[in-house]
Amino acid sequence: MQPPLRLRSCLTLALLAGACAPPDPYEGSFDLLPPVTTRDGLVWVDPARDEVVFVLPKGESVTTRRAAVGDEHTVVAWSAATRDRNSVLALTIPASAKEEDIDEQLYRFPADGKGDPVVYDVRAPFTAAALSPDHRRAILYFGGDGSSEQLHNANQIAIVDLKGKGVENVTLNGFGGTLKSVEFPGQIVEGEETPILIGGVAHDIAAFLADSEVVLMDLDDPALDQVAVPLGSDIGFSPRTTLLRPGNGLFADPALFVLSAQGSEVGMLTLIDEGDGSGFTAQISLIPVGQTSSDFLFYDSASVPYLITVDAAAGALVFTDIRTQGGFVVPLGSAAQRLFLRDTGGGKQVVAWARNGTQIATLDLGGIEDSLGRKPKHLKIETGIDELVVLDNDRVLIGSGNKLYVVDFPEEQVTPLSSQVPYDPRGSALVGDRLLLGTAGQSWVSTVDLQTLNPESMLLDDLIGAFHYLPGPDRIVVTHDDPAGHLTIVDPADPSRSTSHVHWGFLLQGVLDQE
Amino acid sequence: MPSSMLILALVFAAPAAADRSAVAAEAPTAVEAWSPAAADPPPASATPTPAPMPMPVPVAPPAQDAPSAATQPPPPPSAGPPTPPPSREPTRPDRPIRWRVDLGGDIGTTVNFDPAWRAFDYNRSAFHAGGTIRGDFRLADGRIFLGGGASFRRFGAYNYLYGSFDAELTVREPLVFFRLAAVVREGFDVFAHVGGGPSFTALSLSSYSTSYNAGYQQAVTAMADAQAGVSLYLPKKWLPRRGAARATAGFELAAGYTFRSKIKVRPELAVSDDPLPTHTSDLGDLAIRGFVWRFGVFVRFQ
Repeated sequence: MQPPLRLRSCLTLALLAGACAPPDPYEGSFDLLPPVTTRDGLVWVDPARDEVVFVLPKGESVTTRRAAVGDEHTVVAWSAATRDRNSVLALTIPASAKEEDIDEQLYRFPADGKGDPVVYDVRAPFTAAALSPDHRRAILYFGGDGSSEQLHNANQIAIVDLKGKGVENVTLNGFGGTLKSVEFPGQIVEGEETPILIGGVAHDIAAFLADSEVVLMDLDDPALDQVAVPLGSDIGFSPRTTLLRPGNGLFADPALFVLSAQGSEVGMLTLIDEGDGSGFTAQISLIPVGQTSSDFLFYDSASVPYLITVDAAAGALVFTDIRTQGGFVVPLGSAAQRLFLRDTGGGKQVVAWARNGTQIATLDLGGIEDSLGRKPKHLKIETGIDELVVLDNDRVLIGSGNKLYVVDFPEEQVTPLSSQVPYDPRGSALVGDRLLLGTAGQSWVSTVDLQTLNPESMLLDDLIGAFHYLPGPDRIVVTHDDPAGHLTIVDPADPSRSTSHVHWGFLLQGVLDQE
Repeated sequence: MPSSMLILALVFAAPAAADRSAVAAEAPTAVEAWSPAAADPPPASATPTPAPMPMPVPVAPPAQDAPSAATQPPPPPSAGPPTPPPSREPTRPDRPIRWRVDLGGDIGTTVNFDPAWRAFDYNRSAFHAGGTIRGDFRLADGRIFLGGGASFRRFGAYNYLYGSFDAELTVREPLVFFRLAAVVREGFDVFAHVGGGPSFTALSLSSYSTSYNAGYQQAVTAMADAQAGVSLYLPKKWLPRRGAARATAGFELAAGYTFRSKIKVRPELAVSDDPLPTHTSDLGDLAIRGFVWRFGVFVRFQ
């Protein structure tokens, strides 16, 4: 007797189902992108599973959330946190060159992993992002490494509105130079909008540094004319960084200074309103600043708007009146490459230092125009300067081999701290008057009370892979090298073994529950 | 292969077909049609009729020696050597099968349908091996045997999860079961059993990058098992002692389903002395359950 046809079909299907095992959900790699530090936690991107994993320490526990990013046809190229650390950006690109009709998209996730991401169509597999200090925008571009695409437009950019959902895909109108970097020279206060007034009109200016030229754009109105300024490829002027001086009573028009990677001149672009509503333009002049210029800043004395540059070859500060381009030189008597300004109560002081130099030079700027021949002061760093981090207006931290120096400028005091490992700025954070240190490759978390300069150290159970400070929960999070997820949470106010705890396996949380 | 060896053993242990037919005609065994009722005349070979012991008999003198015999008194019977009794194997009584006790071992496979199983094994099947002791007794002088037993089985799994983690799992479980068997004919049973017990699972997850970390977990879950199958064994009539045989052997095939309650997988990280307080994460649920088949060999005492 033959079974009914339907029964035979069901039996056949059942046998086939039993014989054919579904694909292994646990094959593939587990190579996550390096964690991104947000305000509240750490975020890993898992390209193989098209997921973003949010790890949020809270009290004694760790909360893990996952969000989808892209699909099987895409892969996450890179991820980054926004400057305010409230969002995480991830760019998806086609998973392979054989994937066609796949658009590149930028995802913006809230840092806590809750809610849907904002997705921007950015049209190109950009390799770099510049984030504006006012936290409003991100500009995606092809960085120095270019792109692996067969053909790409090196001057294509995407201006992403981080407060909304808009995106502007633009190509720079330059003179053929390849875009190298993007800066926001007018934004000098973190988290605040600081538009530049040109002819009484506010502009939010971004500077696009290309080979031998600078392109300026008003981000508030990308439809306005872009200002492309050639800086002289014939003289080897390759822009390295910019500095924008707002207009004031000493010099009415805003001026954008452009530092060259080499050469003895600084480009000065005076920004002038077009007057016809089409935007602004720039008048270019090249300021001679000695043999070389490795860093610069502007300073207004009582009557003179100065551009101060450091001539690394001569070991001197060069003061230039930007109105007349006349100036003077102050020899430092020590190696100098970098500059910064600090307040001294009644005035300003310029601090100059050089990597591998053994002295920090300070020069009071009060009445500098009338004090020719003023001598700088020096603070000696016996073992040389490897790294210098400005802690606050009065203090800097210097890494020098296995030593740390805390330099107090008002007291002119240098306090050495011995360490077992060289200082790594990536493994430190300043929280109030407490310096937190957790250098990768060793198993100690240290704190230094900058008021008393009393160091304390706490031994961890494992070697440090990376050091993070989360301002939201006010916790140090030290990650250890383990693909399953391994971290130690330390209270920065009381770093001890009794108040710290370890979490393991959080990157695999829920891994068995996937369908 | 044990199964092929067993089959070969069964083939060679069985008498030739011609002999079997002759024996069967004269000595039907009592398993499939045994009845203690007096109405049935006992089979000849099964009747425990004691054979008369042969006594020493004096040898009669030849007829031509009669005269001399008349002159000489015959020697006393005790003076001569006794004639040995004729050689004959002692017969043993047939033994009706009222109960059976089996000792066996088996191998098999469980096909796990929970996708989480694949984290610990590259495929869905888990090979297991075990041993069983069981017994049953005849119900109402019929073909049905009811009993139970206990068994132990073990299986393990390993996977290199995501190419980054060593995931291992071992299950050890004792099983108590009830068994119902029907003798279709002696040498061929069909049976079913249901049982349950604790399932002891040990699992680990480890990774090695710049340092080695490993998490371990042991879990006890409930397990229930239901199987049905067939047993093939040597019937008494194929054994040298035939109806009196008290032991036989065979093999069985069974299939069914094994249920185990879920394991909440949360391995504990192995730490050194005086560690920082360490917390681990919930990796999810693992349900090791699915269809099972097995092949076993057994020795039966009956």
